[in-house]
Amino acid sequence: MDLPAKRPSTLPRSAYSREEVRDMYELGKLWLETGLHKRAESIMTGLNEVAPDFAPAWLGTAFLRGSQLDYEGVVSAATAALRLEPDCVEAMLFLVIAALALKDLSMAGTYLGEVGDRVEQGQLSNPNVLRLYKMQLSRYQNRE
Amino acid sequence: MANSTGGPLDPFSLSPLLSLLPSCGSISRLEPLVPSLFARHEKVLSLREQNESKELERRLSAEEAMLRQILDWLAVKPGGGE
Repeated sequence: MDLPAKRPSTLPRSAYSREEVRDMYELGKLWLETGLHKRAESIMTGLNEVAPDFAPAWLGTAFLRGSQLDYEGVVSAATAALRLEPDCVEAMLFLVIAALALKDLSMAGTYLGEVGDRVEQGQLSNPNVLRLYKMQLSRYQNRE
Repeated sequence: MANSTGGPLDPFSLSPLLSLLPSCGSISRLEPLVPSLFARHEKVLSLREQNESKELERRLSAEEAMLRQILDWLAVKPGGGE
């Protein structure tokens, strides 16, 4: 998978406004929520190409890779999101989940620590993200 | 959908990872974009015909697939809305 990188000069730099990108992403997210993964993948992959600096679409791609059990792909997509938004807890949790699946305990521990720091500082406002963090922390602590 | 006690199911219990995807747009704003998305789709098709670069073809192909999905969805929405 390609990470955000330079764009070919033959393509317009901004064929889409940021608002358009967000709205197209929202349709892709709706399709993920309704299980239409192939359609959603077209949107997320397209956005990764036309708006490689848009982190949510990389998270969408991470979700899709995870649903395909492609954990290296999860790492690649979530890393792209984290590069764009270094405080993105959601990307960190995707990395934790993939790291645990890949048995990379060092990476899992690193990102769990990063998320844990933000939890202690009260930076997490989404209760479901907090629940997911606690689930992954439990997986990490109870690993064989 | 309801759980065993008759209450609504917590979406988190169905797919926890979906909670990691932020909401940041609105699909209702896509409909007015049909003319520009259609024009862009035509442009991408034209660029693909002229292009000889494999790298650019990959990008254009991904963009075209995205636009086709969006335009198809907008076209089948009953009464123009869903």
